[in-house]
Amino acid sequence: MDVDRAHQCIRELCRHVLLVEDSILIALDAEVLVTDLGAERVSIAASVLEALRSLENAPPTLAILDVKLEGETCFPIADKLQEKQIPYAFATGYSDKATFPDRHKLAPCMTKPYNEQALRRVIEELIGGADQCGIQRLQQTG
Amino acid sequence: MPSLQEIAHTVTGLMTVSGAVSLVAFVILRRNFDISLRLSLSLLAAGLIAIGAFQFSLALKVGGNARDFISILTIVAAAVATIASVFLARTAFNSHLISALHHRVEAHRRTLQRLRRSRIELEHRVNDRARELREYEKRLRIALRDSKITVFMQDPALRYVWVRNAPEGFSATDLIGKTDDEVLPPAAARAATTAKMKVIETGQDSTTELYLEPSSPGQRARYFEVTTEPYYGETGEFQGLLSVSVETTDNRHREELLKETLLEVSHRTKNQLSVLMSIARRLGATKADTAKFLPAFEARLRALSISQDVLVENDWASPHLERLVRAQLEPYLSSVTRRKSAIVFSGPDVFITPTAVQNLGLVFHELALNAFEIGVMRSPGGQIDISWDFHDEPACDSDSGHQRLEIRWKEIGASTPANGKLKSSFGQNMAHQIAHSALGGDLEIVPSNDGFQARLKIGSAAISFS
Repeated sequence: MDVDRAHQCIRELCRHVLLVEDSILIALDAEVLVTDLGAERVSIAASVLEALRSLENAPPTLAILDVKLEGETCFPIADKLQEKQIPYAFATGYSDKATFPDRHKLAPCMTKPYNEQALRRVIEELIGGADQCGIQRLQQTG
Repeated sequence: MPSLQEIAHTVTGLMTVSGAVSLVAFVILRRNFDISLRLSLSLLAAGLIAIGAFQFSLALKVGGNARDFISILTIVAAAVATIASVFLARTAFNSHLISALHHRVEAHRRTLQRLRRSRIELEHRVNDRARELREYEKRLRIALRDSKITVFMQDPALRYVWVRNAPEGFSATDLIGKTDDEVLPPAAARAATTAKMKVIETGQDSTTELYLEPSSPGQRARYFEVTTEPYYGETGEFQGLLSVSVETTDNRHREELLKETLLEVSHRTKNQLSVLMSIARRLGATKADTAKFLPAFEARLRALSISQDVLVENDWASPHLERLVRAQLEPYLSSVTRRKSAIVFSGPDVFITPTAVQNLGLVFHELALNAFEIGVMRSPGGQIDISWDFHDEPACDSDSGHQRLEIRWKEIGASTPANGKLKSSFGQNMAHQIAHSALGGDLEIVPSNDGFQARLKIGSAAISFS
């Protein structure tokens, strides 16, 4: 994959990013990071309910999920994204994937705090696992 | 043919000898002295009489018929003495037999008495032992009561034969006669049996942790620490296994809770680090100069730290709005401005949810920083009036409440050129974004020639109504 094509793939995948994060400051920071990677639209959701509503209203091309939200986990959102075949990656404070449900263990994951390199790495991982430029992701059913 | 005299000599001699032998026998065998004494004395007497008569006949020098007569008399006397002594001996023997019988009866009676005494003593000892055993049993029961400890014995086929203080959910009577396979869930039974077989093989004590998966959903998993040792009888033969089991479920759950808490702490720490990184990155974008960046970063760090302190002193429950705002202003107050009248609060009691505390704290920190850097608090007479009340607002979507809190920040006492912006562009952006995205409201900075004025509206999600 040549450099231009890689950039195009990343831009394509980041066109509309859904950031699920219960801390606004972290979300705003992530917003800057994904915008730098070429995101045209960024949606921010702080809870499972908000995120599900957002992805029903305007399905994103990529979702970054904070695993632990206020009093809940993001896995119901991940289930919905898997169902809709929308690529997603986790951001977590825990560096332990053992607590993840089996069906989400294969999804890329970055530990908090994360920077642009970490974000770029998970996006590349998603592209690597897709048939074509971030259009269809490999099913990761456990 | 011996003469009568010779016979008399022989008889009397024999009698004297037998008398002497009997005396010797009497001396040596002192025991049966009744018979021997009487026999020997009578024989001796008869012998002496015969010898006396015989000697007397010799002294009188009688001859012929008289001597024969004396000899016959001697023989008769010896015969009479012998018969008398036999009779005496018989009587003595009989009396000896009676007394021997009497002695034996007496001995038997004594033996019987001894036996009876032994039996009573034995009964007492058995009773004492039984009482002692009951006492031990009672003490064991008291020691185990309300404890998580179970003591049990299994035979060599690993069947329960004795159980004290069965764990909750098990009963001793149900366990007796059964094996682990019949009373435990399969995985636990396998683990228990394996461990016990090893004890039988090696003869060494061993401690195993047993995990009992929940038998139905909603029940919690149980943990037991079982120490098993081989049990030998008094003659050293293997009789089975003796085990002490301690239920450690509560400890394990506490451990798990602690682990979860540590994970939660780790999560929060990572989140805080992410927040700091976000602030550093965004602040860094507006302040390229390290000398300017550091104090600005430090101020925000302190604002986060203050919000944390407010939460901690409130035991992570919702703090009062005034407490939070006052805490954020505190680092900037001098002894003069700390005068009560410099900052005036008015409004109903409002409590902020723990989640919103950090965000709201940052917004008020930006307002406070602005007031002390370019606002009214630069001059000694400056005053800030902070007031709030609730407003009913039509809900724009289903999850934002009908009530909103409006907080007004009004600086009085100095005219500040108001351009509707905070001095710090970072603070300006962050405060607006927080108010909009995290607090479900907005921040409005009102241009005014009288002094800086701001209006912050926040949604009901940030307010604790309980």
